Amino acid sequence: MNPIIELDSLSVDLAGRPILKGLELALSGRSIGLLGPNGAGKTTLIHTLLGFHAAKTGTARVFGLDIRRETRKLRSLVGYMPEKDSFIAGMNAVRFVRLMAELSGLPPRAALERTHEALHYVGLGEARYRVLKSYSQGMKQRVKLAQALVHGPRLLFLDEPTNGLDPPSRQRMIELIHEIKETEGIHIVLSSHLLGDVEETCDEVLVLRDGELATYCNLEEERRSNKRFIELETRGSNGAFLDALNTLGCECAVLKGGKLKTVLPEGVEVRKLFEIAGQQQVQIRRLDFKRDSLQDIFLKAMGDHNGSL
Amino acid sequence: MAVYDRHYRPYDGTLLPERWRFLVIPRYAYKDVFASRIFLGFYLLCFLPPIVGSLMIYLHHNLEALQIMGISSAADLIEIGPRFFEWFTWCQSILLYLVVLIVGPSLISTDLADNALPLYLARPFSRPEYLLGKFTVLGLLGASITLIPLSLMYLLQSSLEGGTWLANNLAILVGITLWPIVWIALTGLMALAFSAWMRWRPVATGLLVAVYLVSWGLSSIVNLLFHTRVGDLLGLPKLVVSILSNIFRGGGEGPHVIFSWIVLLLIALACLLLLRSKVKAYEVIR
Repeated sequence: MNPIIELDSLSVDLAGRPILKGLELALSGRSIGLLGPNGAGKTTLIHTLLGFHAAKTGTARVFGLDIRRETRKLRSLVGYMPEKDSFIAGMNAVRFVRLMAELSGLPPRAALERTHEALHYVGLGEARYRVLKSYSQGMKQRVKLAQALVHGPRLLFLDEPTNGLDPPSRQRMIELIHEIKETEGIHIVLSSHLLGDVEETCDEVLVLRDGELATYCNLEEERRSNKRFIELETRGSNGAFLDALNTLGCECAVLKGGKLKTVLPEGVEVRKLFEIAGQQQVQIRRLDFKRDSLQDIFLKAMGDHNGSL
Repeated sequence: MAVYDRHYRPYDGTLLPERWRFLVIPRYAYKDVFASRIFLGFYLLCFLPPIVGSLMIYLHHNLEALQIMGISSAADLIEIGPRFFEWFTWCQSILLYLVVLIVGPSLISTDLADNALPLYLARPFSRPEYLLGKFTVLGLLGASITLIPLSLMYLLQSSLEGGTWLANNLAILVGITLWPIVWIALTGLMALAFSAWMRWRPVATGLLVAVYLVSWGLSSIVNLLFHTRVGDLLGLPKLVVSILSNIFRGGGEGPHVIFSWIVLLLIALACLLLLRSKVKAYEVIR
């Protein structure tokens, strides 16, 4: 798969301070999460990819387009939803989003049609003729998403899209991002410090710390591999049960308190464990899949700085 | 796709040519500007002097009308010459400044206050295009109340007076075309620069007023205290009068005209530098 974003020793200084330090990575997922504590460089990375900040050294490519030389072409392929409130206060949502569509090059009629579609899509159909300054925080976030989508970009940069949203609004925003992600031909880069948002919406995660790559993780692969790690709590004699599991090809380890930890080989389903336990007169009282959550990955990355999981 | 069918779809239609995209900004801005009836009334009032001037030109060449008004000869009326056009150019320049004062200060300040610049600049739309679009708002308004009516007055006079008058008064033609362009550029840049600098419309408006009135007062004080005319270089209205009299009549009081032009050029450069530093998607805080 061709990479969507390639970072090639990318370093960025702002006001003489190094913000991004030699980032080197290729990302090709449908939805890419940017994680990191405040000040890690997530927003700066997005701004640099959009051409707002110049790279000190190195470069980056989006869809193979160099951010230094082909900024204009690159910007025609992306949509950007900024973190802070960004709108034109005196306008209503239709006029605002239509203006943004026309600035992206859509003819006025097509811009108007797409504006209505985008505003309905994000759930602002009823409120689309209201002045933007009268909008609630959730509505402002949604109108920002509408303006980022209206011209049909191939890559969407979402900077803290759930900032300041109440739980129902957050859930609606996450659902929207899910829907967009499922659409053919569009990729998402989501920057957030909320692990839950990234975990729910992203396939790949890039964790930044102090402008450096702390870790990169393919969540899809992680989820798949986690399903093979199982923790068991049993009652009865484990000896024969362990032998049977070993015969099946499972790697097993006995933990404190008689707990078992096992890795299922490919092709072996969990149901087989219950069958063996039945045959060996062992009761399985608890069975847990390993849950190496994004939080674990994140904390590990923050503690261990060598970039490996 | 119908609006009720809530699914995202990419856009695969045609796109407008990039070189004319900056015109989207004035199109939207004019809807807001002319939504105000007060402004519309004032804008229409700006055409009153050129209408009066055109009537005066017409009367000069219509003996019957003069007789009806009880004027025996055209010589009793104001002469249609360089001074006549200079006065109308000055008058329209003042009106243009007032129009810029009303429209200009909100052009960039509202975008900066609402953090809208990242949205403009995240698109295939550059900073120069953004500024060109904003400048065009003032440029077209300015041309409509200076360049176009003054040119029409000149054409009317030329057509009634004949080719000889036209050939003998080419300096007027230069004056009514060159000066409005310079004045539109200068006032437009000043308004945009103050709008970007102050980020708050009332302050930017106040600054524009101050540049005209305070500089006038300051130049008078300097002249009075030091018994000189060098102070005229500090006052925008005096610079305008000096340059206009030089363009139309070849003379001019006060500071040497070249210095007046240099001061205007320096003001324009300062405004461009200010715009360059202030109009950015994000300002880096040091």
